[in-house]
Amino acid sequence: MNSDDPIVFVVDDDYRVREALSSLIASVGLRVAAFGSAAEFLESEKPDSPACLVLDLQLPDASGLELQRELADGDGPPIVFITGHGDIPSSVQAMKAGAIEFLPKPFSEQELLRAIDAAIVHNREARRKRSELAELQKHYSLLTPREREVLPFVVEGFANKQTAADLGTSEITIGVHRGQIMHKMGARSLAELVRMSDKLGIVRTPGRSK
Amino acid sequence: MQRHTATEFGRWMKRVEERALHAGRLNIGRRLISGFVFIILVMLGADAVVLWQFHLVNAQGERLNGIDQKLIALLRVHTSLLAFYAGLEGLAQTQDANLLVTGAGPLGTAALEEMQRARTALSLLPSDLQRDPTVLPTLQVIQSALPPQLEAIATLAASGDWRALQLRLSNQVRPLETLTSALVEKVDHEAAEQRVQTVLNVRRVQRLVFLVVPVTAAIALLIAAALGLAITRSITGPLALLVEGSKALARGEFQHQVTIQGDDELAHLGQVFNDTARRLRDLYAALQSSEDRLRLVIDTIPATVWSTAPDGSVDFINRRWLESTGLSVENALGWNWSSVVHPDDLPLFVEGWHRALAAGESMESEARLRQADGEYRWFLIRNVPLRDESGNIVKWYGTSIDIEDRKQAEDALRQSQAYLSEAQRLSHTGSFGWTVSSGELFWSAETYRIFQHERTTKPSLELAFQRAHPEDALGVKQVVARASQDGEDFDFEHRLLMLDGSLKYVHIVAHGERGESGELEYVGAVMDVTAVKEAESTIKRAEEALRQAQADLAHVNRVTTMGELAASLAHEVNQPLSAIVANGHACLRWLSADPPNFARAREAVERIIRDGQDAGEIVRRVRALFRRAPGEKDVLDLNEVIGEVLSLLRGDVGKRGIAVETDLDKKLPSVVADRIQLQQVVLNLVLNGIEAMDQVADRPKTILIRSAWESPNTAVVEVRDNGAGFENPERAFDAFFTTKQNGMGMGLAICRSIIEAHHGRLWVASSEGPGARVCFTIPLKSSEMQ
Repeated sequence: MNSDDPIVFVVDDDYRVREALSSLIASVGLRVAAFGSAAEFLESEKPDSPACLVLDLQLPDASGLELQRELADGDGPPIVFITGHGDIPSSVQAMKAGAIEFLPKPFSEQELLRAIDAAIVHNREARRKRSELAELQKHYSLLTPREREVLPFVVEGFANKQTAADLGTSEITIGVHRGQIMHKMGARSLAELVRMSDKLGIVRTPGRSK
Repeated sequence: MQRHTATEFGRWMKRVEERALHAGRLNIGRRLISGFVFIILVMLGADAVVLWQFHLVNAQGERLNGIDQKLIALLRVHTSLLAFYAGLEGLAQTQDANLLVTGAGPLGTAALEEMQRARTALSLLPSDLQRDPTVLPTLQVIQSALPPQLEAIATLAASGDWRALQLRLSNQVRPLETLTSALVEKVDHEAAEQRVQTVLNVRRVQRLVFLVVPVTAAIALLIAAALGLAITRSITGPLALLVEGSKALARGEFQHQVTIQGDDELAHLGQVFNDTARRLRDLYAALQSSEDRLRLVIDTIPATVWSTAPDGSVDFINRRWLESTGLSVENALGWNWSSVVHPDDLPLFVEGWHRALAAGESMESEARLRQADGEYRWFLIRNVPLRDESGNIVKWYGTSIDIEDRKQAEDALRQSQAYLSEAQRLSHTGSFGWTVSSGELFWSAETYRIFQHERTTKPSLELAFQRAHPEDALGVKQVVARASQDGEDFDFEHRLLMLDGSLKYVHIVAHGERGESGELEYVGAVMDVTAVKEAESTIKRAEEALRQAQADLAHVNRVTTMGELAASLAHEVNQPLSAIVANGHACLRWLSADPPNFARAREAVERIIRDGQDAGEIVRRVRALFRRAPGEKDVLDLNEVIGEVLSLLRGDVGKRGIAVETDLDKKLPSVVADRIQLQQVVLNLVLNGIEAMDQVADRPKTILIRSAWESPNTAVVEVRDNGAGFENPERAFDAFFTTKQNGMGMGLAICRSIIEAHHGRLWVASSEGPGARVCFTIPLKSSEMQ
C-alpha cells in the first residue's frame, strides 16, 4: 500500500463494537486502526495519508465532542460519529463542528461505509489544497522584501511607471523586480500570478505608506 | 470753756453707760421705767426753770404795777392838794368869809378823802414796795396838818383878816404841797428805776428760755438715746447668746451653755436654757445609750429587721440585712431593697406588699433574696403595722428569716415524693409494706391504682386476693403463705381480673427482713406489666408487618430505580447488538469476497455469538432486579455484586462523563446475603452519587467504590462521590426525605433497613473534600456461621 491509501481510525471504548467495526471496515479493503480511548488515539503514530475517524460519542476519558474540538485546530481527519444515545443536542453540536455524519447505534453498514467514503474524499481534497498552498508559500518565501513590496502593485495592474513613482524608484528597477517575481513564483502569465496571490491571501491594495 | 463742757458730757455718758451695763442687775421693766422717769425728770426740771423765770418776770411786772399805783395815788393826793390850795386861794380872793367857810369845808374833806384813799391804796401794796418809809408818815403829817390849817383859815376868814389868811395860805399850806410834790418826784423816780429793771429782767428771762429749752431737749434726747442704746444692748446681747444656744440645741449640740451676765430676766432665761440643755443632754445620752442597746439587739438578733414609712418606703434597716445582702444603706432604703428580690418573686411580693399597705393588715410572704455572694436564698418576710391612738398607721415593722434550708428540705421532700409518686405512676409500679405478725399492710397510691381499690379502704391481703385471677389465686395464696413462714424474698407474676372483666398482668417482687424486735416485715413492689405483655405481642405483629412493608417498599424502590436506569440499560443492550449487526455485515462481506475469507468470517461469527451471550446476560440481570423474590440468602462474593451493578451502570456513567474508580479487596471472604437486595443497595448508593454530581462543572466527576475489611468479621463497602454532598446527613435516612426532583425519598431509608436486616450498619461518613461518603458493613461468612 502506498501513502495515498486511505486509513480509517476507530475510537470506541467498547471492545465488541471496536472489533466488529474493524472487521467490517477491513472487509471493504480499507486500512483500519482501532483505539479504546481518545488519549490512545492522540498518542498514536498516524501515517500521512487520507484518513477518516469513526468516533464514539461517549468515551471514558474525554467525550467525542471534546476530541473533535481538539482535532479541529490542526488538520485532523473528518469525523463520523457513532452513538448509543442519539441525543439531538449532541448531534447538532457535532455537525456544526464539521462532522461528516452522526450515526445512532445500531446503524446500517451502507450508511457507515458511505459516510466513511465521503469523509475520505473530503479529506483527500483538503490534503491536496493544503499541499498546493504549501508549494505556493515555498515560492513566495523566495521573494526579497522589495519584491514582496512590488507584488501587490503588479497583481493590481499598476503600470511600472506608476509603481516606480509610488515606491520612489526608477521604472527600470520595477521592471527587473517584476521579472524576478514571475520567475520565482513560477507563474507563466500575469493571470496565474493573480490567482496565486489570491490563494496566498495577498492584499491587492498596494501600500502607499512611502 | 466749751471743751470743758464736752469732756464733762463724755464723762457723764460714760457713767450712764456704766450704769446701763451695770443695769443688768436691774430687771428690764424697772430698767426701762427708771430710764423713762429719768428722762421725764430732766424735762420737768427744765420746765421748772422756765416757769421760775416766767414767775420772776411776772413778779417784776406786778411790782412795776404796784409802783405805778403808788405813783398814781401820790399824784392824786398831790393834785387834790393843789386843787385844795387853788380853791382856798380862790375863796380867799373873794374875801367872803362865808363863802370861804362853806367852801373850805368840802375842799378839805375832798383832800382828806383823797389822802385817805391814797393811804389805803399804799397800805395794800406789797410790803417790799412800802420800803420807802417816808411816804406814809409824810401823808400822815399832811393829813394831820390839814384840818388845823383849815380851822385856822376859817378863823382868820371869820376874823376877816385876809391878809393873814393870805400869808397863812402861802406859808402853811404851800409846804404841804411841796411835800407831796417831793413824794411824787421820788416815787416817779422809783417807778422809772423799776421799769428799767423790769425790761432788763424780761430780756434776761427771754435769753434764758431760748437757751434752756433746746439744751434741755438735746440733753433729754442724748440721755434717751444713750439709755436706749445701753438698754437695748443689755437686752440684745444675752438674747443673741440665747438664740445662738437655741440653734445649737436645735442642731443637737446639747453640751452648749449660754454665758450668763447680770441678774435680769435674760440671765434667768439663760440659766433656764442652760438647765434645759443640760437636762436634754442627759436625756439624750440616756436615750442614746438605750437606743444603742436596742440597736445592738436589733443588729445582732439572727433576723433581719426594718421599718418603713406608712407609704411602705423603708426608712430603717438593720445591719444584719445589709451584711447579708451586701447592699449599702442608701441602696436599701426607700424601695431600693427590691433589687435584691428574685425577679421571679418580685411582682408577687410587691403586689402582696401593696395590698397589705392598702388594707393596713400585716403581711407574710416568702421570697428569694439575693445574698452578698450573689446566691438567692428563700426568706420568710413579715410586715406588721404600728398604729397610733386614733388607729392611723404610723409605721410598719418588718422582719425576714432565712428559710432556705427549710425550703430546700421541703422542696427536696416534696420533689422526692413527687418523683417517687410520678415514677411509680409512670412505671406502673406500686410499692407495699407488710408486717406479717400484725397483718398490717401499707399500699402506695400506685398500688391502689393497680388493684383498683379506693384510696380510703384499708389495705389487706384479702383485698389483694380478691383481684387475683381465679386460675392464679391459689398460687398467689401459696406464695404469701410460704413467705409468712420462711421470710424468704419472693418474686412472681400473676394475672388480675378486674371488675370490668379486663385482664392485668402484675409482677410482684418483695424482700423480707426481720426487724430488731424480730418481727418479719416485707417491702415490695407491684409492677403492672400488662402494657409490656401487650407491647411484646404488638411488637411481634409490628415486626411482621414491617418486614412485609420493607419487602414491598424494596420492590417499589427497585422498580423505580430500574425506571431511572432504563436509558442506561438500553445502551447496555444496544452495544452488543450494534456489535452483532456490524459483525454480521462483516461476516457477509468476508464470505462474499473473491476469494472468500473464511477465517475472518469465522472470527466475526464467533464475536456474534459472544456478544449475543453478553446481551442475554444483561437481560437476565435486569430481570433478576425486577423479580420480587427477597429473603433468599446465598453465599456471595461482595466484589462480584459490585461489579454486576457497575456493569449495569456503565452506559449511564459514560453518558454523564463520570469516571468510576474501584478499590476492591480481592481477598475478602464471601458474605451470606440476598443478592438482589445487596445489588439494590449498591445500585442505589452509586445512582445517588451519580445524581449528586449532576451540577458539578468545576472538577472531574468521579465515583469511588471501595471494599475492605472493617474487622475480622465484617466487610465494609464505601461509595464516595465528589458531588454536592449531604447538607443534613442524618435526615438523609428519613423516609420521603429527598433532594431529587423525581425521587421518592425511599432510597437510603430502604438501603439502611436492608443492611440492618443483614446485621450490618449503613451510615453517612464525614468526607474530607466535597461530596458524600456512604458506607455500609456486612458480616463475613465466617462470622455469620458462628
